Amino acid sequence: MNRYLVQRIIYSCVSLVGLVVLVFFLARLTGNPADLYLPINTPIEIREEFSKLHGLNDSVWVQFGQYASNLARLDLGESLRQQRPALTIVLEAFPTTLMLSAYAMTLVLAISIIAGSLAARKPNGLFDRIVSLIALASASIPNFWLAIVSVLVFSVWLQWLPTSGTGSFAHWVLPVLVLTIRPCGIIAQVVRSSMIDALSSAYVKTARAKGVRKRSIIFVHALRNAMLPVMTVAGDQAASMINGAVIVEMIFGFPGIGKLMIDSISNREFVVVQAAVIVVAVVIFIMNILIDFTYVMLDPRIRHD
Amino acid sequence: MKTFRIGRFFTVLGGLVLALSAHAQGTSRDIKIVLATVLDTAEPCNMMTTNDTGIVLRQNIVESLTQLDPKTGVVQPLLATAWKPVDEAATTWRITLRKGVKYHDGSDFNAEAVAAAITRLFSPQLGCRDRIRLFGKNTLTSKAVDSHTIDLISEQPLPLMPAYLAQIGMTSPKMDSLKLSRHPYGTGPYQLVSWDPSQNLIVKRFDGYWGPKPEVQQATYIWRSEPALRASMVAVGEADIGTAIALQDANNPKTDFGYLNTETTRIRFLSMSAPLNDVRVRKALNLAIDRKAFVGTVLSPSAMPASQYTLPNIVGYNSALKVWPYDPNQAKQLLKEAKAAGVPVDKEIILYGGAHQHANAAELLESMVKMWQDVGLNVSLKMIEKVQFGAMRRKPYAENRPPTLFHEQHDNSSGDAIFTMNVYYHSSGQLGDLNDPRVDKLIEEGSKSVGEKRAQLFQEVNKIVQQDIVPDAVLFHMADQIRISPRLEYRPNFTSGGKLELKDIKFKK
Repeated sequence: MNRYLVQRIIYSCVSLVGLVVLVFFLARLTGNPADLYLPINTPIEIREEFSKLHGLNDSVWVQFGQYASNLARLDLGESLRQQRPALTIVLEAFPTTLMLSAYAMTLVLAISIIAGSLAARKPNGLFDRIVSLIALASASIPNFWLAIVSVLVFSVWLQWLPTSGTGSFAHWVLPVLVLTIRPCGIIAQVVRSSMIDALSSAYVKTARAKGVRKRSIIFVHALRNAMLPVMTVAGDQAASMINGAVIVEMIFGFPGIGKLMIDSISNREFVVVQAAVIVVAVVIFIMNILIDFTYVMLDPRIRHD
Repeated sequence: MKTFRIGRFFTVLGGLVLALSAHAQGTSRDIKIVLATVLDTAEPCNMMTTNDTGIVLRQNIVESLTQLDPKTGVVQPLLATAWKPVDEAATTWRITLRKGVKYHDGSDFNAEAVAAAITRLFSPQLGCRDRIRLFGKNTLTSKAVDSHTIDLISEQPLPLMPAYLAQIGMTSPKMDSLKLSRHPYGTGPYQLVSWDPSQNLIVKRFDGYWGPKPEVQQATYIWRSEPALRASMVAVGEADIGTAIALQDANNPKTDFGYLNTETTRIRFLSMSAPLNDVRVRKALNLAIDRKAFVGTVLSPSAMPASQYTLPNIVGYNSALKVWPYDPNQAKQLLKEAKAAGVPVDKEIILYGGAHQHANAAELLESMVKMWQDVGLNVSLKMIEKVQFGAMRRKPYAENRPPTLFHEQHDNSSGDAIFTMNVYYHSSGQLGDLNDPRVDKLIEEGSKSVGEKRAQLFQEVNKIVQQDIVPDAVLFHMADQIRISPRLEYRPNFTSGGKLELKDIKFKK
């Protein structure tokens, strides 16, 4: 297992380096940040002086060399607009996204596992059909529409909840719910399919014959074996959320990493984009390793050697 | 019975709490303003060129030496009480400073402080955008005459120095000149309390302010990029002012107000190649646009068709010029004449626009393209991203460029047409492609003149540009929408898009 862990870390580092190089060069194809930062009527001489001061005139290879040597000292660069370390800016935004994702994924797993498992008990029964319909609808609803409609209904018409911001528990209700609905629909369907397979297996028939309670059969014996594909899909959904639930962050005014990345790309803040990519990539790599360990816990037959 | 009495007690208590909190909000002298973009800089030397930073800082935290009357554009005293040119070339101006003014950090406002503020503005490490926009390659230095008199010395003649001074914030001499500030200190009626770029910025009334005490005690600025959300926040009482709300959300005449801002839009013709190098085609482009059709539909009902690229209250505005009429028949006739003379009127012309310019920009341009196609022109639209758009608009232009149009927007809140003409109509301007010696001469003469002579020279430029050369189709003086809580007495003016003075906000009795 230790060997596996070391191997995964090495592969993750290689992927990270590749990602950083790719983002570095791709970003610089999109134009000079000075063009956005300076007023449109800036004389050419001042534009060039500014570019020279910030190393924007250097060849892309020289810029990359400088960046790589700074990166080795964990210096991810400074934002042009804010003149603050890019890493500081990213780490200010990331906890909000992490918390949003954590709350949402907890709710997603709880709802989809229960609903999917109970639906699988009687395939094509009434409950199964209702759950399948709701799951399909949930997976199809666009987030931005849902976010705006939920603000309209719950904040403006009913005035039950605040429109936006992060002040209190009430502020988190709508954003978390909006973020939950789509992955809930997707994962519920995966749980349902997986559980139907598990519930039709021989060991479940044996358990039934031995008089084991229905609840134990579903949530102890069958569910554990059905969880492997669910963890894969859940991991994928969690990674999307960690990347930044941009729509939710923009609509509800959550200062998360998704919005930060969009704004930084729009403003050609290359260093902030790069810092955000690195931070998000590291977290996703850690999450993927944890999911691998979860597989082993769920099915001891799996060995990562 | 006992349970009923306890229940009734708590019901009454709950109602009392709710009523009291509603009353408290109604009588509170604190307000909340929701902006459209994240406030990622609070640096005063960028406040003129960053809209939402200007809304927060200008004349609230950081004041300038002079200010422009929003209605007339006339320069008025603020931190300076008098000014005069020392030499005939107007390279040196003597400024008399207001006495008894203190900065928020306790420093005195005097000649030394003004000198420090000017030096800071020109600091290469800061790369101040306001300085670049205002002065370009020109420099400004200072020399104290006494504690409250200072000479400002420009390398090039600056007859408009008083108007320039309305755009320079007088920052505290203790502020760092090497790093962008994250806590600006000024002389304004409000001082910064806290700023969390992820949440909000809070200012509170400065008790040591030299002027009258404003009614608003504390203002909290927050930011939401979705315009419908900004409008909703005011509607449900979560905010008191929502800036830049969308036209389709401005549906309550009691709270929603449209106002002309300082932006004017136009379609610029890059007239280097056929058919745009023929004045008949350029006139036809103007005549084919039904400008009135857009007002109140795609654009705010407060927007105004424009006859020239500056606002009516700007020195140099020519009130004798009229907006191009909508006359598609005349447009067709001109194109017919041009075609008969061998001009390739059906050659493809590409119109470049940016969705970032203003709300409904794409819809406006699509409709305009259809209007041009209806009179027989072959125009197609390309909406492009802002960096690419900026690079294409600026000199040097690409060689052998096809016939090109640009949809542009220009902000002149500085009170004088020179800020427009130098950039867009002079042959050395970064964003124009005119090369007319008449126009250059008039602009150069005007820039050295003052008073009525200056105004007349610039009016002549506007007349030649509109009627003889026709390098563009000036479209609209643009308008913004703002939503204001019913508990406030405040009406926006044309500067409110870049400056929202808290001292102008009163509470209804």
